[in-house]
Amino acid sequence: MEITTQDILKLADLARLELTPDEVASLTTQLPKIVDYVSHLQAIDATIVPEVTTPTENLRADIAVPATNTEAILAQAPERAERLWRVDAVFS
Amino acid sequence: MSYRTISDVHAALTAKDVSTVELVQASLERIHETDKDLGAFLRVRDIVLDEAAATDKRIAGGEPLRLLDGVTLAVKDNMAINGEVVTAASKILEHYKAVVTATAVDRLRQQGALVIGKTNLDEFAMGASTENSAFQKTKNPWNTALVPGGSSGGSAVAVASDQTLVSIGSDTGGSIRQPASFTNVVGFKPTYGRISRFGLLSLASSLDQIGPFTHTVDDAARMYMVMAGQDDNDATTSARTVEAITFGAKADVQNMRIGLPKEFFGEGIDPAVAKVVMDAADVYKKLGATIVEVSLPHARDALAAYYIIQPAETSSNLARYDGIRYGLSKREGQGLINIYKQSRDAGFGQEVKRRIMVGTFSLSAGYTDAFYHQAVMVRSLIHEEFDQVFDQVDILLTPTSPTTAFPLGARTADPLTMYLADLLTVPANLANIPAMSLPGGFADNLPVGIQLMAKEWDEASIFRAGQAFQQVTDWHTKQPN
Repeated sequence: MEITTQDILKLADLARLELTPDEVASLTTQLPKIVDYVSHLQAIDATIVPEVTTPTENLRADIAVPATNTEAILAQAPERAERLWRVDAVFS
Repeated sequence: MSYRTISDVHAALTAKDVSTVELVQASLERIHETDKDLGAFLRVRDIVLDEAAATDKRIAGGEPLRLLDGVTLAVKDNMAINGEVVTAASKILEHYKAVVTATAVDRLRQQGALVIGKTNLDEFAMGASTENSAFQKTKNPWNTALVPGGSSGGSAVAVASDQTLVSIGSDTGGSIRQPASFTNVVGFKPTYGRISRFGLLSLASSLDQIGPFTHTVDDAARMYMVMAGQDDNDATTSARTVEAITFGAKADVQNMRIGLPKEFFGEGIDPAVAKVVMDAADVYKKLGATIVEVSLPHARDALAAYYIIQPAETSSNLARYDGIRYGLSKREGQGLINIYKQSRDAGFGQEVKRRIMVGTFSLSAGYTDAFYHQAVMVRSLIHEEFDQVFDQVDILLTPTSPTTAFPLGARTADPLTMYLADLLTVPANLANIPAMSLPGGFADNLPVGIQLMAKEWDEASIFRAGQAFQQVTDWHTKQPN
């Protein structure tokens, strides 16, 4: 399958990765090889079985409880303003 | 002073031949002597000496031994201990301090296990050689020019080189079993949902499981029983009762039906590795088991399905590392999106970026049905084939890895050759079933692991078969020089 430099840049944008030109170049050669390797699955007729999903048999009641480690969590913030995380403006 | 099993340690503690503090000191000294060459540990916990002193005080006060008192434990550095650094061997978390303790770690400590330190891994557990760590490479104690396997390479080496008695790792596609195979220790991945993933830094949430590394099957069973069981902090843990694993004087495999799935032999499998597995089959035959050839027609497609599903889940799970709330943050550009992009670029290594890109591809508009959804359906098909095969046999016996340990650097240039190391281990993750690697013999003086798999929730059959094997063989007693 052909994957162009433009495709790589588009995927990197979706993945929120700022890639260096070297990384773009190596991914432009590596990604098609990986995609080609996994593509043979498309020839398999797997519609004959029911889809297996991850079991979640252990759901708790949805009750709010006070957090006890708020300060430990906020202490990790690269930039904070009291009890808030500080970020750049979303809209400029 | 070197103890190989939990029962050896308990006998010595009971006889007052050794104290817990002395056991911990011996472990720390061993790490000090050997880890410059091996690189298994990212951090050692000095506070563990105080924890050991507290245990000695309990024992002196007449308290009975807890299940894991005196047991030195190494923990893969993708599991959290509250207030302590946990990095997943990634620069993006280099200074991150955990705000919870992983349930599995907590349960082991409640029974007295002493966490000596945190071990190296492939960054976020992505790799099969422990070469993808942002911090250091771990070497194989059998030959330091070779990789220890991965991604839990540090935890495997800690046990293989007697730095700690036991350790824990995580297994998403073979990350416990393959390094166990490369280093001559026991590595066990339980049924998906058996051990809580709470406090494990997620790689692929539908596949990740925590499990032990030990010298013996008996010790793996002891650690498994302590860690297993429902946890309110992980909705995928099962409420099923954890069956007590007991062997009596002799583990019995009389009348056990053992399947050799033909897809796990042949092309791509080193004949010397296959021979070790066939020799193990003969051991089981002599013990009274029935050996049957079986087939899992799509087992060889598991690797391709895995390398779609795992990156897809990873690209989603790793979206949380954005430079805003914790971890490395780059704020040189303008605007929120540039904080994300620059922080992730600076914080993630090459393999992590590659998998995020593959995952983003298979989940992007126009490709989801052909790639991600088709892979989920092939996973379902493989699950069904395992169900059917376990109507015919009790356990499956295969090689753990297609080869023995390979040289450092041999597979880093071509990601696909590295992915092939997972060929025989990913089927168990896709099928949610329990699987163990245990020392089965040697090929060219390097350890070869044999893999046992059983149906979902039937860990007991694996432990029974593993114990029976260790009762009549001595491969697990062989140590690197």
